[in-house]
Parts: sequence; C-alpha cells; structure tokens
Amino acid sequence: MKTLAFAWRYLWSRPLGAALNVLLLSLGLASITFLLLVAHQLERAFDRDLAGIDVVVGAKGSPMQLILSGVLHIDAPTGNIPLKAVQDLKKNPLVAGVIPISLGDNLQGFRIVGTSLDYVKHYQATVVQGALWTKPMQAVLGATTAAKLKLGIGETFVGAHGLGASGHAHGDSTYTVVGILQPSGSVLDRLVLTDSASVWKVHEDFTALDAEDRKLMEEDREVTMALVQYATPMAAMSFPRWVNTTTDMQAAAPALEITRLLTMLGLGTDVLRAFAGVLLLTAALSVFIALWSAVRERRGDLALLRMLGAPPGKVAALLLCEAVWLGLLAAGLGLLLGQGFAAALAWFLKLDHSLLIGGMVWPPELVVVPGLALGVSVGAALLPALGAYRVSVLELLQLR
Amino acid sequence: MVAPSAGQITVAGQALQGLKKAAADAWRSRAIGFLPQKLHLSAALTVQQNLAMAQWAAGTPQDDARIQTALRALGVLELADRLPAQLSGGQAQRVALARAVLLQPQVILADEPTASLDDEAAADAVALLLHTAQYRDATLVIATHDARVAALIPLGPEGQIGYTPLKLVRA
Repeated sequence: MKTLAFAWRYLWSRPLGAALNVLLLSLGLASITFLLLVAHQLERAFDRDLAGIDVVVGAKGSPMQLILSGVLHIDAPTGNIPLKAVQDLKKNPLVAGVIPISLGDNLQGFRIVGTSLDYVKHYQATVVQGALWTKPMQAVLGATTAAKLKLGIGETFVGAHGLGASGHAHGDSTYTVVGILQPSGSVLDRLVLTDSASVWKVHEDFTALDAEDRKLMEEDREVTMALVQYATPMAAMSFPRWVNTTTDMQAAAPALEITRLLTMLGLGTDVLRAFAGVLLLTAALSVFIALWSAVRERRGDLALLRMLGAPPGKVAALLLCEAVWLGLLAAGLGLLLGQGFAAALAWFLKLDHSLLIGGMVWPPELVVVPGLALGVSVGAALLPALGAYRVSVLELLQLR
Repeated sequence: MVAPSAGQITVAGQALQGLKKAAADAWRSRAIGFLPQKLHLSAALTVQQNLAMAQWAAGTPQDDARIQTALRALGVLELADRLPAQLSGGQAQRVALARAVLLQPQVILADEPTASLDDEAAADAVALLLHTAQYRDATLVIATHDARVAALIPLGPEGQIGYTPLKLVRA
C-alpha cells in the first residue's frame, strides 16, 4: 500500500509528463473501448431485431438492402410486391407465419410501418398506454418515437410521403394515436405502427381519381415485403430458391446478409483496431522513455533507498507501481473517452433515427481495456524497473 | 555495501563477510545511518514523507511519533510539511541527518558533510553531527578532505577522539 502511495507522489512530481502519458495511453484505449462498444451494441441490436425472422421476401434488388430496410429500418426498400403474392406465401406448407410490412411514409423522420398485429407480437412488445390498433388510421407509437415527438393517446397526426423527414404531407389522411409501446430495445421503439390497410388508404386517397380507379387499386394492393417464419428448419434449403426462381420476388435470409455486412464492416474495424494498436505502441514507448529517464534522474535517490535497507525488489516495485498508476488512470480515462465517442456516434445516428447505439453500457468485454492498459504500462516499465533493481548502494558514494 | 573478498570486517558487532544480500540490506538499515554528500531527499515528497519513506525502505512500520521525535531533536519539526525544494541548505542537511538517525543506528556515516559550506555553516554541521552522535550514543565516522573538520573536532584531555563537550553544540 505504502509503495503505491509513494509511487503516486513520484508520478505527479512531473505532472506534465505524467498527464501526457496518461492521455496518450488513454487515447489508444478509448479507440478500443469504442470499437468494443459499437461491436457489442450492433451485435445485440442485430440479434434482437433479426430474432425469429427466417427469411424476408420482397421485390428483386439487393438482398442486403431488403434486410436493412425491412428488418432494421435503416435503408430504403427495394420496391413493392403484390399483396396476392404474399397471401400465396402463406399457403406454402414450409411457411409458419408471414408478417406484411408496408413502408413509404414517415412522421418527422420516424417510419410509419403498415403491418399486422403479428409484428408487435413477434417482438413481444407490450402496450404501456392505450391499446393496439383495431381499425385503419389508428397508430401505435414506439417508445422512442412517442417520447421524441411528445405525442399522447388521442392526438392526431398526418404522415409525410417518403422515408426522410422532409416530404409531401398527406394532409387529409389523419392518424389517431391509440397506443404507446413499452420500450423494448428493439427496432419497434423508433417506429410508428399501424395497420397495413392504413397505408393503402392513405395512398389510394391521395392518388385515386375516382371510385373506379380506387377499385382497380384495391385489386392491385401491394406491400413492401413480408417477414417469413419457417415451419421447419428444412425450409431454409428450398424455400429461398423456390421464391427466387418461380416468382418475381426475392428471398433474403437476414442471418446471411448480416454476416456479409459484418464481414464488410470488419475491414473498417480492422483499420481502426490497427490504428488503436499503433497508438498503444506509441504510448508504451512514451511510458518507457519517461520511466527510463526517471530512473536515470533518480539513481541517487534509488541508491539511497538501497542504503536505507530497501531490497532491490522493493526499489523496482516502486517503479512498477508508477506504471500501474499510469495504467489505471489511463484505463479509467480511456473507458470514459470511449463511452463518450460511442455516445457521440449515437447522437449522430439518432439524428436520423437509425440504429440504436448509445454510450454508458458496460459489456463484459470491456475488461480487456484495463487489462490492456496495465499490460502496456507495466510492460513498458519492465526494463526501467530492471535498471532500478540493479542500482547499487555504491553509486551513492561514487555519483557526483 | 560490498562483501569483502577476503579477511574479516566487523561493524557494530556484526561480522560482514558471508552475510547474505537480504540480510545485509536489513542489517544496514538498522546499524548504519548514512548522511550522503548529496542529500538525496526525494523532491516529490515532503520532509515528513521522506522520513516515512526511510521506514518503508527499511521495512519497518510507519511510526509518525518517531519521525516527529527525530525532526524535533534536529530542530526542523516545523518544516515537516515542506518539500525539499523549500528548504535552505542547512535545513535540508538537518532533515537528511534526521532521516539517517531515524532508525537509531549504531554507526553514523557522514560523507563530506562540510563540502560546499562556508566556515560558519561547516562548524554548525560538525557540531550537529557530534551532538547527534553523542545524543544517540552512536559511533560517528566522517569521511572528508576538509581540514576544517579536523580542527572542529575537540580532543579529550589525553588527545582521544570521541569526547564531545556539549558546550560546543550550538544547535
């Protein structure tokens, strides 16, 4: 204990050098913390949002885009598919459940999703206020949506065309808020949910010229995509191929596409990780230089400690403790900085209501950060500590 | 400090040849109080902490009462919370001497205690050493090439060294 206390004093006898070393070390650690946090939260978000959705059927195009738009709600959809085709999917014996998703409108940047009640059930979301919709033009808000827009039960709003915050407002079709969901941490939190029929109604009202036209439109009703659950795992073998070859639609497996996405992101994280590694290496060098010169400066003091009876190990421990302090301080600062970076990223992402990433979560992987900090600082201190270990009492008499 | 290659050295009743390193470290801390020429007070620590560090180095528990006694005996107790940089040369030497005698050594070893001191300060330093050695009942060894030191050491009626009349002490 005493050794740590003395080492602390020694460390701060050169405050500028100590502060710079802590800062340098913590920058590298912050990068690693940030990477760990983002990876952890992305994985959790993907796991949560993709759970139980075996395949997504939508218009032909990029399969990844289909997953991003339909499951994670962070991209534009590939196009629409006929409602009839989706109803046909339900009849397929390989299919256990189909949830229709209709996109196209937004409420101040929050997507309005036309779907069935199965969608809410799928994410095991519960209503905290009000109730689920029972007829078209009733809307249920996700927890984040409700909080951000400050909308309550009974209030009305009109959707705007498109998925971005700006767009043509559907002035004459007003939705009424009938329910607000409990925060679930899933994608539902940042959506506006309504019946598929609401979306049809809004657009038919908007474009239909007359009653006849409307009738035609009703026959050609479309949805954007369908989230499909298999009846049997064996379906994964044949169902996507069947969709891709015999229909005008495509089937995309979320698990597959996300793995592909993560592999692509992996390249970016590798670069960041290498960058963090270089930062840590620089920090290690800097700590080494600082402690090395500290030993040189204090040779006499160290020799005196030996004279006073301190065994060589104790003198070396004094130096190592300085490194431990550096490591601990840098770990603390690095973790906070990393959380800060993640929070800043979350803030940027929240501006367009996409993936939920936040600071101030502490996944267990983060223990590598203090471990790494101590490893780097103590590792850099080994050689200077050896130098301190070898300081001889005689130097007290010779050194001038 | 250095193991003899041949022969015998006995200091304060302890034969030094064949003493293991760890045992030598422990013995040195108890038996010898060393006042180096360059004082090597740790600049990062206060006077009080410098003495506490001596106890830490010797592996004895920190004893604040004993530190205060040592500082008081050398008239520097009021400087306990100062950093070495805030001390005058004479004050710093007193603190270093307090550190040297903190563990009640049987031998006080002073290396050039009067180097770079003017006549008056040198007289003070020698008097202080003599007084402290007598007060502690310790053997005082001064290594010096300063002729003034010899002149300052009073000899007894039969010319023996080590007789130290207290009237010399001006501390």
